[in-house]
Amino acid sequence: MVSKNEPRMPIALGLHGAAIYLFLYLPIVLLVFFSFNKNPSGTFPVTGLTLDWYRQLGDDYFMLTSFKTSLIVALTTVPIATFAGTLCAFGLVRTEFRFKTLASSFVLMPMVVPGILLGAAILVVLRTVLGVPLSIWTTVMGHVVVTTPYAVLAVATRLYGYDRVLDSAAADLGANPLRVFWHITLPLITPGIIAAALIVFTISLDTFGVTFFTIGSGSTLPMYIWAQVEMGIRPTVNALGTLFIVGSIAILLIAHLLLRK
Amino acid sequence: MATIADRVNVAPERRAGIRLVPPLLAFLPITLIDFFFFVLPMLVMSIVSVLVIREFHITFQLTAENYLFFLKNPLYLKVLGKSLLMALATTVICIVLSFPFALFLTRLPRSIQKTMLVLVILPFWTSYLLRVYAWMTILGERGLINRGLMNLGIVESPIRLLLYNDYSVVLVAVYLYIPFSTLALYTNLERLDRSLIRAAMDLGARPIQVFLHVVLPLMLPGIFASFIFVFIPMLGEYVTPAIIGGAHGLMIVNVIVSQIQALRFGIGSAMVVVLVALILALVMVLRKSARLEKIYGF
Repeated sequence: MVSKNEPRMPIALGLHGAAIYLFLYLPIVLLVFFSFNKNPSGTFPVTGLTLDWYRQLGDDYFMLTSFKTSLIVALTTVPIATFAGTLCAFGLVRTEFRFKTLASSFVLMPMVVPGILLGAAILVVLRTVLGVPLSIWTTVMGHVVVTTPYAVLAVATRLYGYDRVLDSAAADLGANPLRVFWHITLPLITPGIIAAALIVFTISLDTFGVTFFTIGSGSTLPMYIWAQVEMGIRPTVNALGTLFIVGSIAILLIAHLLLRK
Repeated sequence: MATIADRVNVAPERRAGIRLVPPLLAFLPITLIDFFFFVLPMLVMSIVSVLVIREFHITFQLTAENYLFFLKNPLYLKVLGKSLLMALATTVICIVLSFPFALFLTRLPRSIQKTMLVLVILPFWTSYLLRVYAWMTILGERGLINRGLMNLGIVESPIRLLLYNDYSVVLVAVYLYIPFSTLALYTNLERLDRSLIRAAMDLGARPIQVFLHVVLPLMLPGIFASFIFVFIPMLGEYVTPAIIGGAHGLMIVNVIVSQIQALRFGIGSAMVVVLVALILALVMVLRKSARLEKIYGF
């Protein structure tokens, strides 16, 4: 009965915890709140409720084209990053080899290099060496590099919980490796792969750093937001932020449910 | 016994799955991607940084000018030093705030612990730019704090000091990165052997002694991991200093970006090489002590 002996929660600890949650959610709650505020300055004072900013957003041609570009970039990035990430996760989880720590360091390296500097490096190569013009495809390259490590982590998480006895059972019953993979392994890790795809999609949609120098004359949603934010607080940005937050939380809750087991 | 264990644990990977995806093939796509779009650009950049560039075309004349530029302009070294300090301040504040918070999380009832943990990470997945931007509605001239202070009659006109300086950048950075240090310390606390603490107390150690000599050494992996997840990204932060810091709160990446934007590719490249080398060296040093495999699984 030692396990039942849970220590009581001291009041100070509970208050601190509540304060941190407030700290984490206050800016988001305010953003959502101001998106419905009539005041065109996008901040205090509160002058009434309105849906005007959402309507204005729907008429914003620059926002709509940026969103379309973001979708194209994200939907191109997802299959590439998910495929590369899934294969790599198999390599890291299912095999043993000498330089495994080094390999995983290499795989996760793009996560620690600031995206905007990677973008700058891609720009410098294209401008000084290759002479290739910037386009959304140069942005896709950057997004694939940045998002693949996340896909690796998502699939690896699922692979770790995988009971390999299932594979050996199928093999003992006479299935060849291809059949084992196709009928047993793949269906069981599919939730992990879908979760990886959803995570890659969300990150790509939100990636600012590597996009900054690689997008050229085009614009993605974060680049649109950047242009708006540089002009100060705007009510339409609050509305866009609200939609973005609701959308990405919905996508990630699905990913979370898929990874849970 | 060993043979049964071997048959259950090792045989399956020999028989199924593994043969289908040999290690080399599994790493081929990611290696190609990282080589062409990551390693190669970084390599070319380090070569460009020591060559003379004329009209956007590299010449094969060697130069140290781009690196000497740093030494001739101590301002840049100053910004680098300031950025390191800001990253350190952010990390220390994150750890100090996260430690009791992580302790709070471990003491929650098991049934809601996972959900509360997801709620900590959730903001990370919503728009990064917009979360930084949202702070303008709190710290700005007509923001929440100024509004509150004026309504209470504490100040008559809005305080401008809340935005556009190093302190406001650190505050927003703490907000951005606290989920990471919390996750790192929580993972560490979950694995902590509580009987060691009880043993120390039974032997008569005072709480402060228990904390300094037992808890702190056991928490070192979580503290190192926090440095990787907070210090490293904060050192490369661009958006927060640009939006919240203004002209007075710039960090090193903002300076590098303005060099690239001014098409000074040589100097810009040299700065990127120095910063990326510094970041990779720090990660290498921290990685072993942080025992990241405990968090990632490999």
